[in-house]
Amino acid sequence: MQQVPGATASRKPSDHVGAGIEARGLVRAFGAFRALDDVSVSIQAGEFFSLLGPSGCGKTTLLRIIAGLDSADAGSLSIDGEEMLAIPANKRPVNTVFQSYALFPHLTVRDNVSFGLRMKGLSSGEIAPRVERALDMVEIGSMAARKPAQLSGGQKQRVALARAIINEPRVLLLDEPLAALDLRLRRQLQTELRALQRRLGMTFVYVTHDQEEALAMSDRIAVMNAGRIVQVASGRELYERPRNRFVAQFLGSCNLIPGTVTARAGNVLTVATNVGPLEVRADHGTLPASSQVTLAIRPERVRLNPDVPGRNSFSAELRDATFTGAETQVTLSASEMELRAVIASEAVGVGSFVPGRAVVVDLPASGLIVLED
Amino acid sequence: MNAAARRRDKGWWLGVPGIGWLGMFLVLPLLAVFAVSFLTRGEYGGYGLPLTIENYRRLAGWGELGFDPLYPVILGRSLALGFGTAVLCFLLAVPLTFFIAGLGERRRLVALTLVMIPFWTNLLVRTYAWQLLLGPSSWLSEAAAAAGFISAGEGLYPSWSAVAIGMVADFLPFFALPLFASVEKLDWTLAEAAADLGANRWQVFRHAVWPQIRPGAVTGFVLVFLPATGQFVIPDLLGGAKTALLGNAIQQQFGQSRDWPFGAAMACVGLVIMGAGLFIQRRINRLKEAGL
Amino acid sequence: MKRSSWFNSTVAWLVYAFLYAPIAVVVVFSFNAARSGIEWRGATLDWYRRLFANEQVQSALKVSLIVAVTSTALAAGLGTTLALALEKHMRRGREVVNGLLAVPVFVPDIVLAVALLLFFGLMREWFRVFELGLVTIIAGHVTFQIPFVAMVVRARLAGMDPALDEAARDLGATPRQVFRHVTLPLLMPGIVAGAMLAFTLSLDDFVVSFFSGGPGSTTLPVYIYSSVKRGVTPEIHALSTLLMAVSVVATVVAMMLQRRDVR
Repeated sequence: MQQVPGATASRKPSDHVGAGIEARGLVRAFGAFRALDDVSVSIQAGEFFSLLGPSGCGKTTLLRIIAGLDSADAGSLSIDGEEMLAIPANKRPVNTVFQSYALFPHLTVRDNVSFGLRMKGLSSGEIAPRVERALDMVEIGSMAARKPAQLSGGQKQRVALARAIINEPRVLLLDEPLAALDLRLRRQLQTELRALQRRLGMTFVYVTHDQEEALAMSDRIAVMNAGRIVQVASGRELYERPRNRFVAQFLGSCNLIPGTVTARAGNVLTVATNVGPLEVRADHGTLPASSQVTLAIRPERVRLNPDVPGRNSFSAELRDATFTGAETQVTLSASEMELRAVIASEAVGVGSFVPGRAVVVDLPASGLIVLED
Repeated sequence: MNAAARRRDKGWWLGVPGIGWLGMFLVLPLLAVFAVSFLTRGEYGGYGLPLTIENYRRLAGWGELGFDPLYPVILGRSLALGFGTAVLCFLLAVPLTFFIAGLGERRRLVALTLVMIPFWTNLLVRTYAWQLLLGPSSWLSEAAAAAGFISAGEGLYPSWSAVAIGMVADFLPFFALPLFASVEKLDWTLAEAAADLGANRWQVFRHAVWPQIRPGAVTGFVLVFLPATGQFVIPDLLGGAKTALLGNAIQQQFGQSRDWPFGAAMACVGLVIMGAGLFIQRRINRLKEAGL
Repeated sequence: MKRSSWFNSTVAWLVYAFLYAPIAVVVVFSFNAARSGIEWRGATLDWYRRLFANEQVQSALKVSLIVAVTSTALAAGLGTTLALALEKHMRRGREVVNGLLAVPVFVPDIVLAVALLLFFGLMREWFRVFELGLVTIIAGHVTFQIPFVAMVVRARLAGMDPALDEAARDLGATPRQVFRHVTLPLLMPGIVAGAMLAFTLSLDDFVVSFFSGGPGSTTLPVYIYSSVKRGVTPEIHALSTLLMAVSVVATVVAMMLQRRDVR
């Protein structure tokens, strides 16, 4: 893809043109149902920010409120310090790429893309070169004279993107734009969108329910559930230090082990569980003794039959070992609890993991996470 | 309502011209009819005070010279005609819609369109055509005479039968379309199950088929019965002077008889019938939605 | 029931014959060289030719066309604005207006016709307006055309993707621009379809024209009616055939327009 019109030759991600968004206490209710329940979030200028969550969590509602397509019942929203809630959609420095593309069926690709500029009243002399550049940027120049009905899903997506970007908005909103495309096309467009965002320096707010997609593209992710924001962090941090059960299980899979705090030494907690006492590092301080906690550990951090048993080792019975190519998924059973581990297949000798065998399991303290609930 | 909803409703002024027009040329005239029905006929065919319910009494049968069943009979005849037309249309529409439902996708559309096309042509033209088809020298009449239904030399027109034929020919599409909407969705497996359990053809229809097509049949019935009761053109052209129905009677009052208040009263009765029919239909639909 | 399908087919074919018999008779006899009666005496276009020379027919045709075109234009405007108001705004008054729109459809045409007659009479007495003539006929036609136009346009509006409106606003269009650049172009086939439907209704109307017309404002159907009362002539067949052809063509075009995609 080529440079954005009017940009200098080398644009670093830090020279952003995007705007920061500040939402405070947003509420959106439909009768008794709260689509957004006191939502506050700060989105940095120039970042690729995703809203991630299951259907009905409120992520699309939040996006529409930022766009101005829906109103908030309470709270405030500002973009680069300017209060937005009272400003109608057509006057906000924001453009949206819709999930259903929403291309105007009666207009050609070219007229679709130039729509925003035409509404602003620019002359055709000014519009034409910008349209050409936008079309080239999304690589859809050859389809310029076609109508949306003649395009494939991926092509429509590109047109929708060009139509939004050509207006040089400070914030670009994308509502699950890749949901209707097949896997291969999705992966390809994910990479392209990420590169585009870096190059343009625009703030992207991206809604998706696909955690892999969010992890692949975003600088930071807000995980949402039932109208609330559960945790905001980079993908890595969400994965390695999820705040609660919901986040832990939404991004990747997780083993959950309930237990009670028995001792505390500095920032090392000892937690009594069904598989014995486990030592955990506690980041946040205030967990008194005898409080109930849930520990989480990702399957790939579980060590089996280590050469040097660690402090959190115990014996378990191997239930199943499934070879899935590069990895082998192992199911273990210990004290009426089922645990899952994922190990590299090359570490497994053929015939060594037989169901029924006893295995030594080690849960390294560095991999154990204390969840808030 | 929040701000956005209030903003959306702002455009209501768009509807003002349309509603204004209907208010002036629909509501006011109907109110005028209602008002005039209570006035008295003037000397030279005008009308004016005093207010009276004489017109309605005449319609109910109490004329100046005691009980005169003329108008109640006319009313009864019109209702009977409307009802009869609806029933005949039903009897023809059921096999017709079943036939169409049995056709393939594309032919179905053609078949339905073919049913509709006569409906789009001028009613007057189609009705006078029946005069030709049913006149004394037409071979339909000659066949009927040969079969003994009518005496030789007479025609099937003008007569009640001619009116009935004309009415059914005009109203059949009104019944067929809503009925078809139900027939299209018919679940035949219920009929097969009934037959499997030993029901004969009539029982299969009554218990497995009829309940499913009833909504369409009711809609069709109302769509035919109400307008048929007030029909004017068809009885006028095919009935000759012999048949007097509500539509003709109204026309007469505004034509030769020049008794506008009386005609207005008849028109009001027509309105009441229409209103009652619509009300009943809505009740039935609501019951249907409640699953009864 | 499938076993009786021969019964269904037979009845169906008979019904089709029954429905088309009157149309066929008129069309066929419009080409019949016989002056009257039902014998076939050879094909001819004489009756059609005579139509063009018939002054009364020409004048009725003029009246019908003026009425149809004017009333259609008015009804298209009033019906479209009403449809827009109902679909996009007016959450509250909707039920009432829907009921109002249903009245001209369900009311027997003669009741509507005499109501208008009464109303025009009152207007004449009190305000000296509405002499029976072209204006009153047009007014009557518009009244029953509006619900049909509104219905067709509403159906089209309801089928439009609401995201298009949002996309237009998102891209900076003011409400007026949204209407001009998105809503209206997409609505146009529906408006034209509604207009064609209204045109047909006006052209074919008899009862309202009969009661609302005055001397000098005879429409084609009224002319046909008075001629039929005196005795049917082949010229009437020719005229009727043409009238039917126009109605069918206009309605078919309207139907095809309605099928164009809105998404």
